[in-house]
Amino acid sequence: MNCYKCFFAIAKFNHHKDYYAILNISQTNDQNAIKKAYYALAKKFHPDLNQGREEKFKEVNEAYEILSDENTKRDYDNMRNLGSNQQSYQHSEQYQDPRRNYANQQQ
Amino acid sequence: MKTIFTLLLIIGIWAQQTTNQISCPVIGIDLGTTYSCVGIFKKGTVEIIPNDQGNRITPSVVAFTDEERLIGESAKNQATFNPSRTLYDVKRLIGRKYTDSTVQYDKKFMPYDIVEKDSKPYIMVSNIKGVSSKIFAPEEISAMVLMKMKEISETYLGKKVENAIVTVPAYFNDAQRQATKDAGTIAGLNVLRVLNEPTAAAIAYGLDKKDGEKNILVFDLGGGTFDVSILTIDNGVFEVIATSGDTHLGGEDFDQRVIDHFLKVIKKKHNKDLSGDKRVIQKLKKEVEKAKRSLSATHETKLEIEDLVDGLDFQENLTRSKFEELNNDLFKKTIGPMQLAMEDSKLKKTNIDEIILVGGSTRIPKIRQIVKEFFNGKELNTGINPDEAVCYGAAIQGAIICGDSNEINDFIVIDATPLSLGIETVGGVLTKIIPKGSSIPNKKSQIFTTYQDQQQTVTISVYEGERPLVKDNHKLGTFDLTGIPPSPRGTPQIEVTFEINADGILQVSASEKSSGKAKTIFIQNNSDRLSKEEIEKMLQDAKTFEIQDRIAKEIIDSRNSLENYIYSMINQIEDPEKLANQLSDNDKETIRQALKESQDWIQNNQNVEKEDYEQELKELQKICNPIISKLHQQENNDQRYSQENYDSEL
Repeated sequence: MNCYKCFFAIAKFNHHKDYYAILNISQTNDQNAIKKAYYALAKKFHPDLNQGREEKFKEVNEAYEILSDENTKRDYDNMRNLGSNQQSYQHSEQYQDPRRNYANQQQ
Repeated sequence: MKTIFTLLLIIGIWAQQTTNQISCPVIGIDLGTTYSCVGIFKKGTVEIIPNDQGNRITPSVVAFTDEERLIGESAKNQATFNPSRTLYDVKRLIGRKYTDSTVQYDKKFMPYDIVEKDSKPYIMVSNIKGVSSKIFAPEEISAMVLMKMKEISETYLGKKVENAIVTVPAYFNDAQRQATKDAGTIAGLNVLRVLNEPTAAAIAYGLDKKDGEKNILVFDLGGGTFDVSILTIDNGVFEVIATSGDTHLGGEDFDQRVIDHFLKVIKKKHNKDLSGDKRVIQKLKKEVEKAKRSLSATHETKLEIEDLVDGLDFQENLTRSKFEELNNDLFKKTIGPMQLAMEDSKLKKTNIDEIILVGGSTRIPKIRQIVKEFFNGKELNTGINPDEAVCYGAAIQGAIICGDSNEINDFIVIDATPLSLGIETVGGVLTKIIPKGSSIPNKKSQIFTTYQDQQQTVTISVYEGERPLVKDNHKLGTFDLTGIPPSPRGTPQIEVTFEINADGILQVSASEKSSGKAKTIFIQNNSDRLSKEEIEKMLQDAKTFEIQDRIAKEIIDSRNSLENYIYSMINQIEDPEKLANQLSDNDKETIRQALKESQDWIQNNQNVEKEDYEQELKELQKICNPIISKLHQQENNDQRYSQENYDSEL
């Protein structure tokens, strides 16, 4: 395949970030608690009420989006629990073969 | 040592907002396909502002006559006499490409001319005040409606209004939103937020709901568009969790079906093909719209149009079941988006606590039946006014933003993106970066890498849509990230960041993390959008129109005051109870003669300026006033005399 400007995705979230801390909670599976924490922070940082806090709100949004979706939350929790030593290993495995990744995307 | 290498693609950057505190008043405008509405939050409640005819909604119609431009009621009222210069349903064109199937479909039915310019649909109007023809962008026509709504609110509030919230269908794409915002700019409004219509309706519904968490579904079927949104309301937080819809489905489509039906009936009965006759279609349209409304309450209605064409009197019955049969497939098109929104929300039907109906077309009994059946017989909430709810919510959002009131100071609306945003990856695949349903404002990054060994450039093409391949989605812009250091495939780490600001503007940036140089490029690359120069020009045009309108009005006013003067003089000098018996025949004749001359002058001078009428009035007054005032003086003297006599008699 002739594709000199193509590229492809390798990571959906930044596992170095602590999304639970951003939402002011400790790791939990209680979706309702996650939602309540998000709403409380939204009232604090939403730019409609708090001009200039937009960046903070985006960060809160990102955390909530990762944690409120059962699938991404599971992936994130797994990555997080693996600990820092194995992270580099995870990464290099993902980089291994772009074409294999491409094949996966096509499915 | 790592340096960052950045390229930026900014889409529509010129509409940037400052972070300064917004000053009140902020009006809320529901810019509808067929009708518009304006409201303001005042003293803890929303006031829907009536127009100059006293109506709370104003037709989104603009017309050009030989003398003037009309907007709103007056434009709609003359539609049957002036079909090709009466512009309506412009919301169906805004932000679309000329080649869009819906534009081509509408072109067949619209009585006005739709032409192509820069691959966008424009409207051509012939014979405007001496100009043989002029083309307008849909943004300009919408701007005229917005200007009217601005004017209505200014008259009511007694002061200038600059800030506004304008609503759009939740399922509008980026181009349609940007175009609506541009329309606001042309109208001289600072559009603080382009708010989703069903979200606005939810705010209206939830204003006084403080009792715990609730999931609501807003079913919004208006004149031209259909939206479904599912929200969670919890103690002042309104979170949109799913949204879906159809930007080309509404009351106008139902009317069209009935018009087509009657054209066929006429052809069969009278052997006349009237499908190309714009006036006939406008007459039918008016009557059909009326019939549709009455069929929401009755089972059968009569349509009557005297002299539809060449002495043909049109008289037909329409039953509710026939109306439903003609539109059966269109009505059922509402089910798909409901289904989709439910799936996206990951809620069960039984989790929906309240179903709220918004938009005039939700008055149709069959529509209500479809929604009710979809939710297994759940009762629908019809407690809010379907015509005003969106406007109501927009006004509240305005007050939230400018911080107007204590009643709503802990209200926030977390809206969601209607369509996914992403970039093209290997094989023409769309990789979503911000999936649909994400909260606004939002910032998301993903790491990408190269596909070839020694690859030095990647092309970042930004798309909007849900289909897996980019070719089926809508392209927003593209740029190259160059200068990636040569390395084996899969090694470079390219971080692509998408950012949506509170005002809905998307910004895309990409950086390669291991290279040594740094540079930044801004590209304004949205071909769908009007350029800054075009908007500037339209703003000027809009001002010119405003001036022309004012001059036209002044001319009419000055002619009216001349005519009023003439008629009141005639009345004075001919009425025996007034001055008829007190004037000498000589004076009377002088006045009569002068009035007659002025009347003839008006007859013979139809196209003159305001100053000419004022001059003529002055001349006339110069002749009449001395005679009248002489009489009044005499009268006063007489009165004083009799008064003195009366006094002395006491």
